[in-house]
Amino acid sequence: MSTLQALMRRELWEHRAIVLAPAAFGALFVIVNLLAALGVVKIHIDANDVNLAGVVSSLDAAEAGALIQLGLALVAVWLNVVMVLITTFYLLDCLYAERKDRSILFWKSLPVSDTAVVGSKLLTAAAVIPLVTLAIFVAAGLCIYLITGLTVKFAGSGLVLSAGPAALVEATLVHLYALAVQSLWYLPLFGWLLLVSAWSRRAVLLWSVLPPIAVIVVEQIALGTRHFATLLQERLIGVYPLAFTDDPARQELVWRFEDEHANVDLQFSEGLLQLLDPGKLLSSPGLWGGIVVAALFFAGAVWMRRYRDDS
Amino acid sequence: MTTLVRAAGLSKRYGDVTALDNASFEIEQGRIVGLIGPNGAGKTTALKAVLGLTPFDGELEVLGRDPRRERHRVMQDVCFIADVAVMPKWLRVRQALDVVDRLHPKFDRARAETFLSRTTVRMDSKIGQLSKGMVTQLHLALVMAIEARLLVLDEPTLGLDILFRKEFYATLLNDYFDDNRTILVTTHQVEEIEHILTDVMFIDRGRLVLDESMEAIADRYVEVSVRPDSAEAARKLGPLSESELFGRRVFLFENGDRDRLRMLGEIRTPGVADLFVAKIKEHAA
Repeated sequence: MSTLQALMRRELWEHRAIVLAPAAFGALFVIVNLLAALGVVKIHIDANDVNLAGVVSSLDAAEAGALIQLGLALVAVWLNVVMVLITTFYLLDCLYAERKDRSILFWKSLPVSDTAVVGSKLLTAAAVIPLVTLAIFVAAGLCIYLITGLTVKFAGSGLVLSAGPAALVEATLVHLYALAVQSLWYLPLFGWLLLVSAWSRRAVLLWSVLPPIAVIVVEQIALGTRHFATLLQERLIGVYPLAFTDDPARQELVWRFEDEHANVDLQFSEGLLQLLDPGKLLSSPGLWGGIVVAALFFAGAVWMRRYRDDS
Repeated sequence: MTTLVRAAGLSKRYGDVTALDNASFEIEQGRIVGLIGPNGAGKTTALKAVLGLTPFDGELEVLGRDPRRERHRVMQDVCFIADVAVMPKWLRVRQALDVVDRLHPKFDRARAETFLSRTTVRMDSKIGQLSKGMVTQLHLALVMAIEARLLVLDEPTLGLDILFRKEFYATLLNDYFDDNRTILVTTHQVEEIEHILTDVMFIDRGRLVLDESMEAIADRYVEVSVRPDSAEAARKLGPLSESELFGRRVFLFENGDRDRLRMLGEIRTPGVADLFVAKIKEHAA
């Protein structure tokens, strides 16, 4: 275990964007939130035609929590976009860069098996990067909660401040779940990127997208079908319908606010955790088929790292 | 005597190029073996085979294991320094110590730190900021702190200035080498290491053309420098090679009759470099 830990720590030393990029994004959201809060305070002082007190006084505790979660959802989605990009480039680089600068000779002089090394890279992509992202989400969420809570308090309601912690905990659990299912669902993609990184001599990004495009084109021409494209599309974006419930009884409207300036219609469930549906995901053949494919790609990447000799 | 490396019929081709051609050799514990050959002769390929870094044909046992399948176990007892460029540039010196400490069970961190404290390498520096000489010092510090049985060096002092080169081998000999250690080294600057070698292997176009201990070389080969008027007499004795130096003819003999040669001129044991040139020419002929 300590070998894997040391190897993953080494990945964080080399690929500092894993921490820096989401941290920068998190900080950006906090700053935007802060500016928005200052704006609200300023409007409250300068203008009389926006009835902030009216808005906040219409909230109950659950709605205040939902308001916080709306902001957090936005942060979570954008952090996830950043994370997927970071993970893609990390995986493409991790077995390619060491061959390119020949430092693979140094790493191979250590008594660590190729399986452990490639495994540490897969674990970094599937677990370390999501956990780093989650930690940044929590830190940014805390800041946003405090800023929003204090602003709404200033506008006349302490509800956001008091409802925030529970809302943040709930949002964090949902985010953790979303990251976990996404990692599991993406395992074959991670495996593919590792294989390309271990195999390609140059232009890793190109080599990672060309073969799937070629398969799609060939299938289209030869068979006139689009099965592979559909499969790929499901793999890229199909995990959320599987991992979250589509039962309308579990999704209910929580908060609606209408006046002449704003018409806000938030669709949040009573409890976000109600939406999680791990059973549906775990019983889907797509998940297990993907894991089998991931194992094949992983084995290929290990084999490549062991026998490829282009130093 | 323990045999650390046992190679039989080692062969390796890269496309049309034969890098190793049926090479067989053994390396005993406690020796310092120089693997010497021109560029592209197969030195590095041979080392890579020993280190499990490249596939090959033939049989090879390193510390009783097949390096192709068990590199990570072999590397518990084998250390390796390639030419200086291979340490990752983004790594800091302290991190390099951390990482080897965590990943190598036989690493003694305090020993590496002591060794580094005698150099100008600073703990916070990134390897990319260090000079070539300093990177080599760092790598040497890491390797000297590992209780390994076989150290493999591939042109370790390439691109270093003379001070670093001298110091590198002096440190290796004084602070590292003992009866339990074995060193396999390649270089094309033979003169620099011949005084520390116990054995030499010459390799040319993938074939081993000489594999002898230094004592055996001193017994078998003799160099005689004769005045030009005795040159013809020397040539009749069938020298391996002939060259000219300061107006005298220098002949190199294999299994020469020392008493007869002594009558022709001054005799001495040939330098490894001269012997190398002679053997390669003989092999080419």
